[in-house]
Amino acid sequence: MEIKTSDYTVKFDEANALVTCAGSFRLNGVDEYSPIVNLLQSAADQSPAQLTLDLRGLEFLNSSGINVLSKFVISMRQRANIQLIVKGSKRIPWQTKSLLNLQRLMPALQLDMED
Amino acid sequence: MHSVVFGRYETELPETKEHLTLSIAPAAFPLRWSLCSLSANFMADYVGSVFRNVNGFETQLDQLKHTVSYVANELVENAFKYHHDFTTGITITISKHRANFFLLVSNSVDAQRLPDFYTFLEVLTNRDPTELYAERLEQALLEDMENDGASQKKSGLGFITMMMIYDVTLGWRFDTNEPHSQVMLTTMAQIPIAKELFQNGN
Repeated sequence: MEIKTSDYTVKFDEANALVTCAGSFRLNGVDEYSPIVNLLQSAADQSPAQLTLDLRGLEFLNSSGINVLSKFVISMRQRANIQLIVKGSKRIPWQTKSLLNLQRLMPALQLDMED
Repeated sequence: MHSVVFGRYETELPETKEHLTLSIAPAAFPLRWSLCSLSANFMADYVGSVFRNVNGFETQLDQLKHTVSYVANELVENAFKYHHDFTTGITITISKHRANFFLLVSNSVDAQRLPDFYTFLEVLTNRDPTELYAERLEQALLEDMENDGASQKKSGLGFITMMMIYDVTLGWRFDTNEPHSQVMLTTMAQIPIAKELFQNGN
């Protein structure tokens, strides 16, 4: 499953329970993010033991995007049977602090920041 | 005219030799969402051009440009969403004063919404951003569930993110022009410049 626009791509690799986001998320409000939210929810609905969200290629995220990502993480708190892993990049300015914040919302979240 | 201020709003910005202003006139054409990212990217590129020699401090410059881009994007998105009187335009100005860039975005607002705005900003400027962030998210999630996925109220997450993640200081000034009761809001973002960028004669 893939969502592709001129600004971003979101890919769901079902076999590996991996969602990869790349590019720039600058959509107008949470409504425009609903296809992405639906993809994330579908990935979680497969009930994998481990679900990985790879954000290393996500260069820009506006506040509606942060909102959507944070709400997804909060919803994952209810799914104790799924280990959520988030991969980020220290190379991208917003990711270090923002992703630590996500971890505060869900302490069980495994955060892997690469250099 | 009378003014109401929230947060840190510097009224005594000194005369600057250099600043950049973008003025978007909605009467001339419909406001397009892509103008938010266009304006934001342009402001960030402009900031990049202010520093001529950053050998060894490219990371600091990238981070500064990214912050300007994020802040400009958020403030312009808000201006587009809440702009009320389409006979007036939206203005975006950036200028540098000592160790900070000041980004100002002005737009008209609906006078009927002022009480809501004031309440929202009172909370935002008096609470700890980290606590407020978690609280607002959980609230937004609850509202989504009640409204079948559509959260109607402004969460303030953009402003909170600016303060928490990007170390930006924010201020808001509402100017009301009697007797027409037109209200202009100017949002001011103070963006710190890393001291390393002042090396090499910058």
